Amino acid sequence: MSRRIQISLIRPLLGATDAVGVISSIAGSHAAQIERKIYYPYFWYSADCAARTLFGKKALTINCLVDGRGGLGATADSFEVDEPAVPREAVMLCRTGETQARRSAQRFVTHNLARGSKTVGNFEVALESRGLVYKAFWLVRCEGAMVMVDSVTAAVHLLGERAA
Amino acid sequence: MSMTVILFLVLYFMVVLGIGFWALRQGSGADLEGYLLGGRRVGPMATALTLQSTSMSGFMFLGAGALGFSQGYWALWYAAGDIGGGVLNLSVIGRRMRKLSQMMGALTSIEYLEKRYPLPAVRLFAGTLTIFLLGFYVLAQFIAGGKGMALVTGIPYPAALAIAVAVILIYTFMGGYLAVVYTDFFQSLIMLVGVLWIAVAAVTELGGLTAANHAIAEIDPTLLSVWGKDLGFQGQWGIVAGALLIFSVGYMGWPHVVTRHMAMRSPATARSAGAWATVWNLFFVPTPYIVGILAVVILPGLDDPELAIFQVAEKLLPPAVTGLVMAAIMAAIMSTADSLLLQTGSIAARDLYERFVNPNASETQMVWVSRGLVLGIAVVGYLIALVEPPSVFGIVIFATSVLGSAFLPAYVCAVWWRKANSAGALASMVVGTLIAFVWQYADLAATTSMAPMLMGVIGSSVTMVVVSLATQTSMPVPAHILAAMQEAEAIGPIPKRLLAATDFSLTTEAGEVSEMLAGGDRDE
Repeated sequence: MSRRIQISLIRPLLGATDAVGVISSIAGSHAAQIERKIYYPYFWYSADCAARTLFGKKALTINCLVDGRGGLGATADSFEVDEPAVPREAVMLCRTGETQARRSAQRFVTHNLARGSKTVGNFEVALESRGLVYKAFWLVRCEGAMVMVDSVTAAVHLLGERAA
Repeated sequence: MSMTVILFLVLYFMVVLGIGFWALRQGSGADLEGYLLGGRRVGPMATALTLQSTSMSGFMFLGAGALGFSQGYWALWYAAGDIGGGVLNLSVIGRRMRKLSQMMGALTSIEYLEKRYPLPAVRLFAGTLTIFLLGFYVLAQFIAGGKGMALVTGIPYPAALAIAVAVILIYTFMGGYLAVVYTDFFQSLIMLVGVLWIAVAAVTELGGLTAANHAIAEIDPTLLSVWGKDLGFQGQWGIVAGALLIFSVGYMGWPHVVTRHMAMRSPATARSAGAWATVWNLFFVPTPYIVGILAVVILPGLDDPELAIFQVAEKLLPPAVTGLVMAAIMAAIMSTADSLLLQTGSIAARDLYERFVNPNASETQMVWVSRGLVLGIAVVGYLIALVEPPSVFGIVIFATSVLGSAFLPAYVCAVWWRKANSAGALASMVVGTLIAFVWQYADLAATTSMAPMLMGVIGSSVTMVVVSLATQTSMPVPAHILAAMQEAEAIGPIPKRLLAATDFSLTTEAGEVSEMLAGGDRDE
């Protein structure tokens, strides 16, 4: 019997059937099938930002997830977190350190605020660490290719030839 | 100067301000957040048109019109290249660069170059050169803004120039209201309608295009040829090639343009946006050149060809329409200048100061570095524009030629050639810069009939290949980069629709998962 560990999981919105449906509708094929499910690690930060505009400061709070293996930052919509017990072998280990992740989050949020507002400005970004969370990805095989499906956003990405 | 024109100009800016104010005061702030953090709720058409309104600058309204007025139908060689440049850029390097930059964790196009070609000198040279050349591009916008402001308001050029520079600086430092996607989208439509309106009015004034050509022929029949005034470029295919290449292929060497690939959502979205951009370009790009050509008949005594479009509009359009069109032109100029200044500031702060001077620099320190550089460019640019303003066309062609010559092989080979290494990239950038600069400065195009950018790209490309191959052993491409390039390439047999639906934001995760499935997790 496989070991199970408890993780903080971003509440998924897509089940296995939904994931297969996404791939089938994109590929126009009924040959899609679930291969497995994996859990990917992210550092979760809540960023309180103040973006300066000509009409004063605009305060906004952003969820920032830093890839726990690649170290890249990304924003995320608000989400709920569950605490399920999942198979140990399905959980991908975190490789990024917290210090690096925090710096990455700070840099990512500031960069995107500057780019989006087209401003050379000093953005006040206060990061609050919310810990390590995981996101479930469905790995779906379809017509000789392996595709990963984001269980929250339904975004898809083909996996490498070696994975297929 | 008509008060009606000024009134409608002010009214236009109030509408733009109003749109910005409304967008920023929405309760949820969701659209602001979405736009500030990647605009993921923005569809392909809005994405395309906002990019076009930012790209189209003083060059189109001053430089293109001046070229058409001076050289006739020869000017359309440049338009021909410009129309397809965006799509070519997207097709050749778009998707691959998006994936590769994501996998390597690069946020800027200059950082991307160092991560692909791991050599500090690459970033130092690329960053410094880009700041220098984009500074020239900003100078062109200052001159365009100053001349346009002077014509619209009647204020003397020095004061109008100062106002234009000041306004650009204000919203480069303050930002926000003009950056909301709605205003950019609105501006792109006004620009397109405005410039087409001017063209239709001009053609109608002359009794149709055939009658216009007959009138031009009576003034100077050589303007009707594709070889320029007095057939000056007849048979000079090297010059023609340069005119075609500069905005078609040259886009692939512009750091501030290729950086857009790094924000691409998916191939499907990119293709849709590219299609919309091309449609918009088909109508917009040739039009200022054609208006400039028609101005030969409409404004025979024109002193400053760079004001051809402005003065044709003033002569032919109702004051209210003139005001709106002028406002859209001014807004486009200022929006482009703002984007360029932001780029230079970001490069100075992150790619030079943080990377080489102070790796532990705080965000505040980097902001001050950015602001310092932006102010410096503004002061120097104002003085040059005031004392001896070069032509807008000349500045843009110079900057574009050197940028394309320096960076095109580096960006293209980064995604297409696995043997392109750091030594080859650095050498190609240096050689391309030198050739393009010397060719321009020494006016070698006149004696060789070869355009500076053509020679620069040939030189930098050959250098990339020769030096990379010669240094494969001493400076091999690192294994992790080769692996990333392989991952970024098309794989298959794959259903094309799956590939088109790929979300690039998952590129890093996909790489990690692929590695895990192929070889197992290294940490276990």
